Amino acid sequence: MSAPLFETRHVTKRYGGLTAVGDVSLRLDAGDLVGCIGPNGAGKTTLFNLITGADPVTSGTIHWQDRDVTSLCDHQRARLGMARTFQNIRLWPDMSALDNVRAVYQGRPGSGLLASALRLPAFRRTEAAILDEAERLLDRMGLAAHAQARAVDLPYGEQRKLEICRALALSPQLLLLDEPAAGMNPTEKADLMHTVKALRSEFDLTILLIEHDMKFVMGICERIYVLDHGEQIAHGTPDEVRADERVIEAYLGGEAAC
Amino acid sequence: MLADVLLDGLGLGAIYAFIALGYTMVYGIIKLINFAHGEFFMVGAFVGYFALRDLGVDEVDLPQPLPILLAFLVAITLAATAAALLAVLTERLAYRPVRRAGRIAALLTAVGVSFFLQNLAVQVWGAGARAYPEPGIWLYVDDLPAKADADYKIRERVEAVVLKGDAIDTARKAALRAEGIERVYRTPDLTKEGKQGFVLLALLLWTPVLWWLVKRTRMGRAMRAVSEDADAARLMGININLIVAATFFLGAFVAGVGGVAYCATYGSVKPLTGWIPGLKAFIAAVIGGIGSIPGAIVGGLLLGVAEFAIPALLEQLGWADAKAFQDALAYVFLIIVLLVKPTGLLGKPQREKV
Repeated sequence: MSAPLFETRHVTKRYGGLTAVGDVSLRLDAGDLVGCIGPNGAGKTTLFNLITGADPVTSGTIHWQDRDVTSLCDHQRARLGMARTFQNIRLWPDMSALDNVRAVYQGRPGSGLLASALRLPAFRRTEAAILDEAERLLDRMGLAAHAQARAVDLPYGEQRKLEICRALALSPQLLLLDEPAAGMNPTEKADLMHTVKALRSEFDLTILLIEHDMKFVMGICERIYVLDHGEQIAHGTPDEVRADERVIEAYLGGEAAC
Repeated sequence: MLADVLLDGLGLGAIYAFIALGYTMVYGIIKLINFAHGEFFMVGAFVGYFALRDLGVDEVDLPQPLPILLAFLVAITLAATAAALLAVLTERLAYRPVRRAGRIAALLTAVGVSFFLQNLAVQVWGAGARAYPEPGIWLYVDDLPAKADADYKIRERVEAVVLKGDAIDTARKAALRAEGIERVYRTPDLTKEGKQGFVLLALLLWTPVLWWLVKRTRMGRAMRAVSEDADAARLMGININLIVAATFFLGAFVAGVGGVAYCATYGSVKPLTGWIPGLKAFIAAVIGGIGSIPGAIVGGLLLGVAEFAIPALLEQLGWADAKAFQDALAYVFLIIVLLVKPTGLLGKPQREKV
């Protein structure tokens, strides 16, 4: 069996006496589309923060293609190919949509102050390539018309799309979506489901998403992890999860019927 | 009268703007009031002093503008680079370790660094003021006008060789030559206004460069991203430490240019040179709206003009001592601006983070 793309092994996060995430082991193979669900306060967003390195783990390890990356800080992990979106939109509000995407390319070679100050040909070439790629991404997400608009002036749904755009600019292998459907109406949700699936094959992505909306998660994910009070209480296909006693008890309750 | 006040004000204001740019850029990125910024300005001024002195600028005859221009270009480049490297070193050694310790800790560190650098400069360069090297006008003794039209001296000698109005007859020329004096020197007719014009011009040339760096380059876009949401920037693979270092470098680089410009205009440099201009530039940055680059320029120029215009106006209105209160009036101006617009002229209202 080949190494998974991404794995957490017995990851735990404690804040004082509170265990926000306890002993979660999660495995993603290349090309997976996996969901992570749980009631409010189940530790889903904390788990995302541990995965991306925004928060350090209390114990346990995190692996990327069989390499232990627990000690890498957030921007280093992002450079490995992990990109995320945020539950509360975290765009750079006063920058244009185009610049929100372009800023992500800072780490590329030839970006030094000196090179830019001297307007070296290499600098101009890279700059042109970046513009090209950023425009292609905006176009792909249907945002081409808004390229020059400030992020904060975009309608809510477009801001969400722009966040995905910005994440894609990292050329990630793993895309982490934090409640991508939050605040969307049913039509938009259906639209988003379609987009997420399409992006996976277009960009060869592995996707892990957190979502409240059961219909959305059940409809799109191949496997689902269920958290409750920071514990991993179930894992399986949507059908398996739907039938799981503990899941029904902890989370789905009456909702399971719908 | 009005033109004088404006030029004086804009010339000084341009210097404030040069320094305020660094304050505002650093504040924009890591919300730190870098009180040591005035010391980067001072160190730049000193490095410029040594460069100009060793290049022998005061030996050059003023009618040859090219070597002088080149010497100033070299001096400004060296000064700016030295200030920038010092800023990067300071950030690495003093500010980065306390970056997560809260804003008060960082602020106190900055005040400490400021005093440390001032006193280090006193130890290394002495506390006294040094005259800033200046190109002069050289004349052969034979070419001296019959009635001296200015004070002429030789560089090694402090006391005057020829005083303005002295009669220079053949006997006097012979006497000078007997002393071994072939050429004499007088200070140039470069007026303070002329120099201030140069400083303004330098600011006008710098502003678009800076604008371009921040708006049109990858580094600049990353800087803006970090200043708007640093956590999101990190998670998008942006190396904050690198961006912060680059910001300190750029801010202090501009301050170094300002340091040479300031001391060349006002004639001397000493370890406390950065103190008052640094403080005033901080005020300028706040008036313009701290964190805003156009704000720093507008605030700097406005404060400079206000410093000359307000006392001049009050003098007209019959308060004879207004000039003596120039500095105090600058602070009154700050208070009025902040009462009317607490975020500064071009500052953005603080956005509530959800």
